[in-house]
Amino acid sequence: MAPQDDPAIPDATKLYRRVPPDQVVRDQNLGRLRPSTGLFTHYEMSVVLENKMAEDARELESALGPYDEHYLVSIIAEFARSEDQAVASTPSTDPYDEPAHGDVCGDKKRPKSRRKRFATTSAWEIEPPDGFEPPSGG
Amino acid sequence: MGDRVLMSTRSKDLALLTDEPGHVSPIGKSPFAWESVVTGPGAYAEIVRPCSFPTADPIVVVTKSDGSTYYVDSDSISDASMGRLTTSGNDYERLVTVDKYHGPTTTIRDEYGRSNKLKIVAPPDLSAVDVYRTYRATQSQPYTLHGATPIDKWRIAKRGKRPTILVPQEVLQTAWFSAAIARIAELFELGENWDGYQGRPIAVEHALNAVGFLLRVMSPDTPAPAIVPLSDGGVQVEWHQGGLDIEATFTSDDDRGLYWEELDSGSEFEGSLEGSTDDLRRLLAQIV
Repeated sequence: MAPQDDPAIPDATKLYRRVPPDQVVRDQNLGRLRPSTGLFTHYEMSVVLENKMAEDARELESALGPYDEHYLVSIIAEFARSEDQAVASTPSTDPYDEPAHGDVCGDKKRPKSRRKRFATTSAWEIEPPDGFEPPSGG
Repeated sequence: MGDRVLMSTRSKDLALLTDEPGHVSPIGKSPFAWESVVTGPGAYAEIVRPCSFPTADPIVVVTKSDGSTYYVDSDSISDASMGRLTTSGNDYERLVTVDKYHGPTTTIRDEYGRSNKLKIVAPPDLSAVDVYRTYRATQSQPYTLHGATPIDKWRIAKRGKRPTILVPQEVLQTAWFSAAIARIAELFELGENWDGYQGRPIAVEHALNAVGFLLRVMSPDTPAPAIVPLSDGGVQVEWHQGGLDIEATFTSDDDRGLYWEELDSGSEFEGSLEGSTDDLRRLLAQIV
């Protein structure tokens, strides 16, 4: 059963999502790199909750977990809710401990237009270095 | 020069077979270490098997003197039991047999003693077959059987079940095709959990479907797309330029489809990959 929206998570909370290098694309329309919409296909989309990290005074980089070669973007909880998504705190221990783990979930099939809004609205928190060429090409 | 064959094996390899006898360009992580070449007047056949997946069946590619290319795999063959012509080489045996149910076949025994049978519809007169010499070959040292049967008269029984795409010669020269094939080879290197979200390895079927899609919609000058792996083993092809966002998604579920947005007008399309080709070509022409 999909998690229900947790109103205890403030609208202003950043929701961090890891970005594998293979899912970075160059958006020439926006003039910048961004995650592919393919990053936002999961029905229950794992995120790390900023407010929970703050409770433990964690560094931003720790949101990457063991994937320190990945990058990190954030979306705002208010935005996710405006897209008919529930935001829930779902601490996890598998595959690694992440007490600030959360889920963003909504339609069983998130429409591509919605994924695109997630992708273009997301903001880099840990971004690819200067000169990074996305392996995706294009 | 005829079309060339971009094919998958049962492993996750792709091979680009050229029109030159004995030449196979492996794409992907497993080298093709075994191949045999049978030459005849103006034609030849290649038998290809990836060494790191020894259970994979060989594939015979026959190129006729007019440049047309066919292939056959061993799935179509059952017992061969009649009219056997046998020859032994130093490293393995090559048998030419007549299958009482299926007509002439060729049986290849490899260095492990496994046999693979290949159906040959023609030539009907086996006395014309002269493939008695066998050699061991490696990728760097392909071998040729001189004086072999004139296989330009052969017909191929059927196409195999592997997803296979014919690539027109002129496409091989384009920048986008080279980039796409190189990218797909990279994607095949992605293992389990490649994204940290329990991502699956990329499926050959989806990758080849993406290439087939590109062959239908691309012109020589179309910019190469970004090719992005998906967590479910699918592939997404994307363009984000010229005021257009275009995405074609190849997966197993109902996520498979096409999406585009014209940013100036805000008009969007989300629907099937089929039936939208003309519109997509028109859009892609805008970003050339």
